[in-house]
Amino acid sequence: MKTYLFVALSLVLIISSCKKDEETTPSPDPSTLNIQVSHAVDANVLYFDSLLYTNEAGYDYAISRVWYYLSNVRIIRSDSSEIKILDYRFIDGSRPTLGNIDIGSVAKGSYIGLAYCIGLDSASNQSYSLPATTDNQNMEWPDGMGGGYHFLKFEGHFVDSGNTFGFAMHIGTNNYLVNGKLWAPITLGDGVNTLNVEMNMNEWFKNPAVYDFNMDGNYSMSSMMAMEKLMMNGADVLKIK
Amino acid sequence: MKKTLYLSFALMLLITGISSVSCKKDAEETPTPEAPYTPTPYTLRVPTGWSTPVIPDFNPTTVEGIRLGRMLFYDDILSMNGRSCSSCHHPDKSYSTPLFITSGGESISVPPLINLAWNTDFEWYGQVAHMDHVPLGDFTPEFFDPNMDTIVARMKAHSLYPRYFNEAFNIKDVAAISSDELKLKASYAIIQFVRTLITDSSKYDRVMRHETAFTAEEMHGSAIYYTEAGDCFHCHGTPLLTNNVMTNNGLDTVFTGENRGYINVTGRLTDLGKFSAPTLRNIELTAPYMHDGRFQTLEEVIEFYNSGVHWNSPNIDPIMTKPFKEYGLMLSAQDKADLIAFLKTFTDTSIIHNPEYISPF
Repeated sequence: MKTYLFVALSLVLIISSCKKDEETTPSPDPSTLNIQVSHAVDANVLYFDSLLYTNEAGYDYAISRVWYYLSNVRIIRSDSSEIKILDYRFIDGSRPTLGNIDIGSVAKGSYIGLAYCIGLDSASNQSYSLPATTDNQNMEWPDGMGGGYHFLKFEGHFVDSGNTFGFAMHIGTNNYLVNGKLWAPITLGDGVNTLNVEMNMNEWFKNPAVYDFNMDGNYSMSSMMAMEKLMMNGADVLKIK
Repeated sequence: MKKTLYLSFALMLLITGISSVSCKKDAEETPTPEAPYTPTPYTLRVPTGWSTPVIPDFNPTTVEGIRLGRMLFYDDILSMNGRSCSSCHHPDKSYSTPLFITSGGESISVPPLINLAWNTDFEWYGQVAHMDHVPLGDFTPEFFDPNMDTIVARMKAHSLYPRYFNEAFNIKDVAAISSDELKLKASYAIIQFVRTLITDSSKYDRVMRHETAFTAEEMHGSAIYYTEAGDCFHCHGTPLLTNNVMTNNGLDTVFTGENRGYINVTGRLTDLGKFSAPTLRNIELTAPYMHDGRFQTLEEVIEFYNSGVHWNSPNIDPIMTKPFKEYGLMLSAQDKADLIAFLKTFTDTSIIHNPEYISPF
């Protein structure tokens, strides 16, 4: 009898000890995650159609449109493994409700960052494959140019030698899917956790490559080199506020 | 004696029972208020690949509403000057019209009334938030010149309208509601009908459905339309051929009066010169072109985009100023002809003769 009691107590101790260890890594207990995506230009609030900003190449510019797909968002554990938390979401910088993303349940615990794509993976980037909404239809990439959808429409005006010109930074087609990661400690606890994620529009024009409207083109859709540069620069456009 | 007493009591109970049954019967025979008419919900046809239509809860589409709206659309009963909606929205012009000159002398190109269930902005300047309220703007001296007392009297005396209003909106007596309410319900009915005006049977649609093929010229025109050679698709994309966005396409550098555009609605300087990007469906039927009807032909329109855009216009859409656009699109004569050939594949004449759309009179 004493032997049985000893074994039972040992089991309880072992089980409770295991449970304690698990609390240091994401626990299976779910918490609720909400991601709020906002947009800024360096430290400045984004005001549309306002000639307030200067990019890395030195052009003063205004932003008139920020449309893109935020997709394949994954939260990264300390062992670098990832949990996919969002398939895709259309974002319009002028409509804040679209940047309010209810992720739902995610395991509680500590994480070290987020991985994301701007654009759509090849499975989704098929002409007319997304639900037929006005937003998706306005993002269609013509079949004659490869089909699928625009990944990004970032448009506005810039000043060069006293004259104002338009710019349209458009990215699309499977070769130019933006893959990015942001590193920051993220702790998800009980209840609703809100993660504020901000896109710095100026990051599209720098790091690793300075994007110059005159040198690289103020219209990227027909230029593989321009889209390549934007794709690379897009890898760090998001940060956690 | 006891037996008689029991018998009397039983008789009284019987009488009471009979009278209560009788009373109940009387109550049942009393006329009850007429039950409200429940209109029959109508589901709009949604062509394959199109988005969900935008229909507000306050004006659901019904069979009876469409019937009433169609009749009002073609009837001059709402005006004192013989006009009806169809006076300016001719079926053979895709429910558009040649130029309308306002009393202020300004020219307005009347937009076509097609596929509007998918629109999110209305009128050239976006001045009306809900399509259901657009016809209210016709109850003015400018358009219907209405006298509501006369209109109500006409409605009341009409052989069909009283019943049609009742069945569509539960209005028992058209003379018993306010004239504002009557105008509102007439507008709602007209828009229920207008929402059914759907065009998706053009050659362009048939090609998209792989039922036929473009000619070589149309194919070349399509390539211009859907690449940056012409770059039409950014504002007039598939399938509605509009992006439902207010935009400045560089028509002018100075804007005055109605020509100031969306700024007249928002008051924002950044909306100066912006207008609704219209659908290009049935564009062949809807001359003249642009909000003020300044271009008479598609050739003139294409030449404007080819060489006439004011790229320094304030708030011009960035797409209009991409590299070399200040020098024009540089389309050849053949390019322009082929682009127009492609635009004409958007024509759907079935809308002119559809028995569900034409005048019931």
